[in-house]
Formats: sequence, C-alpha cells, structure tokens
Amino acid sequence: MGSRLPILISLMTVAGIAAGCAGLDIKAPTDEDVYSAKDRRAADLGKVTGEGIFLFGGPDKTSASTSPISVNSFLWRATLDTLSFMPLASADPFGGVIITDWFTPPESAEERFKLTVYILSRSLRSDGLKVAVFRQIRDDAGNWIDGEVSAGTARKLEDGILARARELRVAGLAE
Amino acid sequence: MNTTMKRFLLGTTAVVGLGLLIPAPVFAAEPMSLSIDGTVDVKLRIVNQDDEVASGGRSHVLQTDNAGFNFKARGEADNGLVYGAKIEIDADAGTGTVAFDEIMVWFSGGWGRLEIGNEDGADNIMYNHGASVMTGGGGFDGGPADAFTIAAGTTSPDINGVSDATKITYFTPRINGIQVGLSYTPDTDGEGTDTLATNVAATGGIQDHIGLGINFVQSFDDVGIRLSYVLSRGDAELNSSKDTNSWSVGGQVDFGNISAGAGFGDAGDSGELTGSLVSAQTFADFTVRYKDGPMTVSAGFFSGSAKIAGTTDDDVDIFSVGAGYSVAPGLSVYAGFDLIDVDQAGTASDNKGTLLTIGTSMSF
Repeated sequence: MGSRLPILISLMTVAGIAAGCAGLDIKAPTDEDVYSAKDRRAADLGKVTGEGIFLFGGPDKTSASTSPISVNSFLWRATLDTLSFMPLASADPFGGVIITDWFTPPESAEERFKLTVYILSRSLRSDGLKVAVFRQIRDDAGNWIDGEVSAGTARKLEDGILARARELRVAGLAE
Repeated sequence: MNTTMKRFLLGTTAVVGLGLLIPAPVFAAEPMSLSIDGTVDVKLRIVNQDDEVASGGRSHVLQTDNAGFNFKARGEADNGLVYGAKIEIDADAGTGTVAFDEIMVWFSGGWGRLEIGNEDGADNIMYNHGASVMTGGGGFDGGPADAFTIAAGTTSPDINGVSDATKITYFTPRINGIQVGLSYTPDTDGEGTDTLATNVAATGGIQDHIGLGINFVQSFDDVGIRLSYVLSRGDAELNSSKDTNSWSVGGQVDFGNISAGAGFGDAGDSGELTGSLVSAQTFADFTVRYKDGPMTVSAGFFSGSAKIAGTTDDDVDIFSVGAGYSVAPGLSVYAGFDLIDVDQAGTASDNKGTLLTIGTSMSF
C-alpha cells in the first residue's frame, strides 16, 4: 500500500480537477506560482531599489504604465474609446473600473443597457478585462424591469475593446 | 520506462510545446526588459554543543550567505505569450569563487508555463510546509548544520527535488485553485554543457528523474490556504545504490497576521546503499508565524527520523524560534535560536546543544 499511496493521491487530485470542470476558473501561472521558498522570503522583504535595476526596458514599457493610470493604459483608453457613445456614470483610473449610465439605443426605445468594465491587469492581455452587461426592458406599465442579456454580448464587447487596445499599442510603437 | 517510450514522450512533448509557443500571429513585438537585482546576507552563528571535537573547539562562525546577482530578461507578445530568461550568479560559493547557479528560459501564457534549464523542479517549488513560514534566518531550514555538528545521513526537510540539474518543467494553468507541475531531469548531476557521455556516466547521480508537484491555493474571505503534494522518483546510476522514491504532503494557512505551516515526508530507502538496513526516512515539521508591521516572529519544530532494522532509529529534533525586523524596504535584521538534539544509533554521533544566529539581509 505504501508504494501505491503517492500514485493514489495523484489520481485523486486529477479526478478532483476533472470533477470541478463544471465551473472552471482558469488562471495563467503567475510569477508567484513558481517562487521557491527563498524567492518568497525575498519578495516579503522587498528591494531597496523597488523592482531591481532595469538596464533597459522595464515595467513602464511592459505594463504600459507611463501614464499615472494604475491599470493598463491601452485597455483603459480603448474602453473609453469603445464606450464613448454611452454616458459615463463613473470612471476610476486607479481601481480600473468604468461604469456607464443607462443608455437607450435610438432604434430600441423599450430597452436600455448599462455596462461595468473591470480592467484587471497592468499588462495588455486578454484576461485583463472583464465586461458586465445589464439590460432592462419597459413593461406595459412603463416600469423598467431587469431583462436577460444575450449570450456572448459581454464577450463581443471585450473583443472589441481588446482589438482597439491592440490598435492603440501598435500605433504607439510606430511612434 | 523503455527507450522507445521515452523517445516518443520527449518527441511529442517537444512538438506540443512548440505548438503552444506559436498559437497565433504576433501583431507587435514587445521590447524586452533586462533587470538586475541581488541579495547579500551576512550572519554570525554562535554554537554551544556537546560534540566540540568535530567543530575543532570553535564556537562561532561568520558567514556571507545568499549573496549574488540575478539577471532577468522579460518580454511579452501581443498574443499573451510572456517569455523570459534568468541567469543567477552566486557570489557565496566559497573563498574567491563565483559560480553560475540557476540558468533558464521560460515561456508562459494561458496554456501554462514551460521552463527549460538549470532550475529547481516542480517537486521543490510547489511544496509548502512548516519551513515555508519560518523567519529569523530560516531556523531548521536555514542550514543549522553549517555550524552545528549534525552527522551525515540524518533526514532533513529537503528530501524532494534534485536542485538545479538541467531539466524541463511544465506547470499547468491554475484551475479552480489547483495547479500541477511536472519536471523531467535526464541526469541529476548533469548541468549546462555536460555531454551525453557525462550524463550516462555512473557517477552516483539519479537518471530519468521525474518530479511531480500538485498544489491548491485558495482564499476564503480572510483565510488563505495552500495545500501541496509532491513526488520525486528516479533511477540510481550506481548499481550499489537504491532508486529514489520519495513523497511529501504539506500545507499553509494564513489568517490575518498569523500563518501556520506543517509538512510530512517519506523518502523510504532512497539513495541508500544496496543492503542498507535503513527502511524509512521521514520528517515532519510545524511552524507558526506572526507578523505585525515590520516585525515578524515565528516558532517551529522539526523532527527527522530514519528507521534502521535491528537497531535504534536515527533521530534529529530541532526547535526553532526566530524574529525579523524590516528596517526599510530591502533591508532587514534578524535573529534565530535553535535547540538541537541529534540521537543516532550508537552514541558516537550523538550531539545536543543550541545555535544562535544573528544576521542582516539586504536585497537590491
């Protein structure tokens, strides 16, 4: 049994992963995932120089953080650009949250939309953006009630913002 | 594993790996960055032990430790591929000696992370246990044998991994908090440009070493949990040695300013000479840590044991307390106190006493 125990634990873990596949939360490996105990202790201690000495390049380029915005500036600008047709309720450049006001499309007066966009990363990457879409429709009494949002709407908006962010960055590199 | 199987495994791994690295057109190359950072750690160790003969009657030693530079290159492509390289230069390898330590390239993305080079394997990196939260110079994981006479062969918490031998490691993405890592090391005493002939030479290393790591990291409100299981297996190069087959489980819980870690491992008769009477080499450790602003204190216990047929077990017990104070970002002072009891079969290697460590560490 002793020699089989490690294999048994491995198989149980793999089975656990498979069982959890119904609601997968998948994240790319982070730097911290591959820290050794020594790296972890060093990270706790910090560095006199902040992030080390950059001989060339640096976080200002890899994270597009040359602006005072705390999140990826390409994603931030692309989001504002893409949603410029909607009125904004609030925009927090430090927390990376943009909330629009309710917007009624001219061609559909009986429904209105509201968006919340979360910019989650300092890097320009596809998982650094999340869009939440809210929809309301007007009932017969004229009251706004919550309605369903079409599947894929949020994803289409995310794709649109990411495409715009890429355009902005390509344009920035060309300069 | 037969040769044909190994060739097939390596071949398919290479093809799949290449495919993962070029998943989509790159629209604009991100300029790479190159950074340099380093650490210098100096410490005074004062020992009081029964076995003063082995230490030549000296009761103290002054050391520089963890001293070196890290060169790190990093870049990112538009398709989400992050890539980089690391070269670590050790300046504490000995008198006047500078040595290259970890050297590797890595690629990371939504598909996981691939590391190739001289680096610790998944079975080492992914393991969390009592020593992971030890402060004050590391206590029982901070190299007490550098000053305190602990007979060779006594079990230590570092029973997994094959250090920085050249290897290839793949880490999966973290899925619902679970991540799996797998390392393959052709020869544990092969590094850098060592030739195939050097690799296969029967010099006492481990051939075809597989390191497996599985961990679960999750936060529930104010409670953070890390659970890990690692496995280390390989074939002994020498016919006179036994194959490596060890495993460990461990975990860490963080709640507010308090962290606790514990682990248990069993290396069986890994690496023992054929005919050895050692049947099981195990360890267990437990540590509690408290952080309050710049101050960190911890207390931990380590117990290692080797069962030997027909005689008493080899045991080593270490109780460690430690404290660290962060004076400024990157600058800390620390102190640790270890109570050590080595009890081996017979009395010749027995030793008992205390070890005091006082040091300062600068990271830049």
